[in-house]
Amino acid sequence: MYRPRLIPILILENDVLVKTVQFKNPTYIGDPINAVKLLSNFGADEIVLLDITAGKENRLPNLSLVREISEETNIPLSVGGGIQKKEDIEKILRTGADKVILRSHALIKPDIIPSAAAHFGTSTIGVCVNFSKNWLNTYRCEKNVWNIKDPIDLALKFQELGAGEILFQDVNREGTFKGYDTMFYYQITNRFKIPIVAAGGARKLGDIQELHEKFELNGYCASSIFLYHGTEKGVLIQYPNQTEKIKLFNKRLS
Amino acid sequence: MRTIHPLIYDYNQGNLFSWENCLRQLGLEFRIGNSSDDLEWATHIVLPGVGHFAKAMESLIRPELIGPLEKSVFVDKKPVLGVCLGMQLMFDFSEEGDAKGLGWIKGNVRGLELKNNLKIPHVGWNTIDFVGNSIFQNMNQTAEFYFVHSYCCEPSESQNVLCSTYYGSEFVSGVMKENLIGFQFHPEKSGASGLALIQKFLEL
Repeated sequence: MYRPRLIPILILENDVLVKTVQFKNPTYIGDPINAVKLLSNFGADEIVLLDITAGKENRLPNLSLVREISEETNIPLSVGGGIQKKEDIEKILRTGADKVILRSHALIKPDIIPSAAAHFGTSTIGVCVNFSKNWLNTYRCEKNVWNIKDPIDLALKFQELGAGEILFQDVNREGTFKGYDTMFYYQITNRFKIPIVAAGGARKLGDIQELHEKFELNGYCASSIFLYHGTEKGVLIQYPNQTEKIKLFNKRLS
Repeated sequence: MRTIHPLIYDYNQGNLFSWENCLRQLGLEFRIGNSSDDLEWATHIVLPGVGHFAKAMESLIRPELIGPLEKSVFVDKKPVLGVCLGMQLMFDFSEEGDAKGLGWIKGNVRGLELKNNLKIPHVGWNTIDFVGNSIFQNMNQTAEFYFVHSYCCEPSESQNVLCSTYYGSEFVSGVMKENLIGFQFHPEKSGASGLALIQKFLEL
């Protein structure tokens, strides 16, 4: 039976693993190589690795570090940060990563999506759509070349261009432990033909289970759940075992 | 002890690094290449593949490549493992780019059907059901493997079906015909269960 993915999302800043709150105030977590090795050994379904300063600094994630990380895994690895062109994707895939995640550059030069999808295959090209709520409680995406305001419309545009997967990332809730914004996901039901992955806000596995039972998405990203132990935020890399995971996604996609 | 020399067959397509990684983790001496010398050296051939069918065939059917490869497959009868696109390439024809395949196994490759609000590509972990007798029949039936694909194989001859998987409907997730084996999923990306399957192949 098909089971959605439970995905640890790991944030890199200056080559170390950090945990952010709303992508700000990074707290040092540890060595990414070690964390990935542990998560891979625990049987993680996939790892998402995002370098959050690469884009701003107009560079790619540290490729030799990504290579060292990928050497420690035999599970799918997705990498994002600063990707602008086909050659960048090529470089990242050469490190052993399986999938890239595009975001900021796809907003201004979306042509990269069809050309990359044609060259590397659709399933290799994930696109991240960051969203937040404005003061009117309306969901908004980041500025883009089409002047689209609604994150769902933006994601549909990316789908049309050939994205293989959409990662919705809730900027307001990231690192806040508030749980996923279920209201947001009501709007996406039946609107996509490509896999949808949710990220931002999960505090406990129950949050993931709840979202899955309502919307049956294809993947659920979380980070604090896999990095912290207890309320004191002590660092402990952990991941549910196979039985726990199957129980979590007991409601199966048909 | 029996020598095991896997060759990761390089035809300028696909993610070779994951295979490199995986064979290294198994502690094996392996090569990446496509020369006659590499093929001669190899005891097992892995045909990886991520990407587009028609494009992959373009690189693969160059005479300097296909000649030595088919000699190893059909004359020397070396075990070959085609993975994902590598499995699909063994068939006669694919809807992806409407292109002719290698024709090693009878049948076609078609697009997955969008059913019950399931998404395409089929990305994620899924179980496989082995049918009939094979070296794999004693594998753990609850083990999950990583899939990522939008197309699937339809062998014309049912005796070539090794295993199937359910995603909205049943599709063939593995084939076997003499020394040819194909898996639609990625054993090299499927953690411990994947490694176990690869070890089985290397026992052939």
